[in-house]
Amino acid sequence: MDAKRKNVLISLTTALIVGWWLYGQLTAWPTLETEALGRLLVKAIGVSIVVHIVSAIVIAIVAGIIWGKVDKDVTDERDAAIELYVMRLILVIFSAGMVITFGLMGWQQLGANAALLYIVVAMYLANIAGDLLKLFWYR
Amino acid sequence: MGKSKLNIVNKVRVLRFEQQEMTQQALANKVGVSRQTIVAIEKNRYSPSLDLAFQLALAFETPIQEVFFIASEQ
Repeated sequence: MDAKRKNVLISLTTALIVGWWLYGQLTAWPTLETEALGRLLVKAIGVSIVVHIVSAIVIAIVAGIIWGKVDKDVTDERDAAIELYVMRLILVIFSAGMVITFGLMGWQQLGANAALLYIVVAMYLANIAGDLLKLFWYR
Repeated sequence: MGKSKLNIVNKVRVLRFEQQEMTQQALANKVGVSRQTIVAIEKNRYSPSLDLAFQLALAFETPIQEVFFIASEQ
């Protein structure tokens, strides 16, 4: 296994675990209050940092056991091109999420707190899509 | 006159074997890219920059047209 695919795997694992944790936290709430939502989003950043570190260690150990030596991570022009495609996809999905959220605010009376959450979810989904596109390019 | 897309292919894999079966990793190290980039170039999944194309030609000590050439026009 090469370092790039390993990094994408770490990123995807982190996103899925944090998404699952965030979903669990949100479904436990009957209403969305501003202070609680703010605290939750700050906590989510902390949780994602910890989960990222833990999954990096676990995946490095598992990859080492299964595939042996991991190829050295060399960044070249192809990586820059892939990164550009990924950034464009992330931007498109995130922008679409923002436009949909604004539309829902304007025409469906979506509250400001829920809108903030929708934008965070759009960012989260855009990152997952970006990781999947990276996996496709590095297949 | 319409703009036609060139079908550029390469002989990197053949040239590697002509150079005492040079490994993909050795070639990657020589031109300063990752092994995955060499794999992608060999499979014609990635067209390298002019700079990298010349570096590959230099690594094989051969003119660039011996490494990259037009197969057919689409």
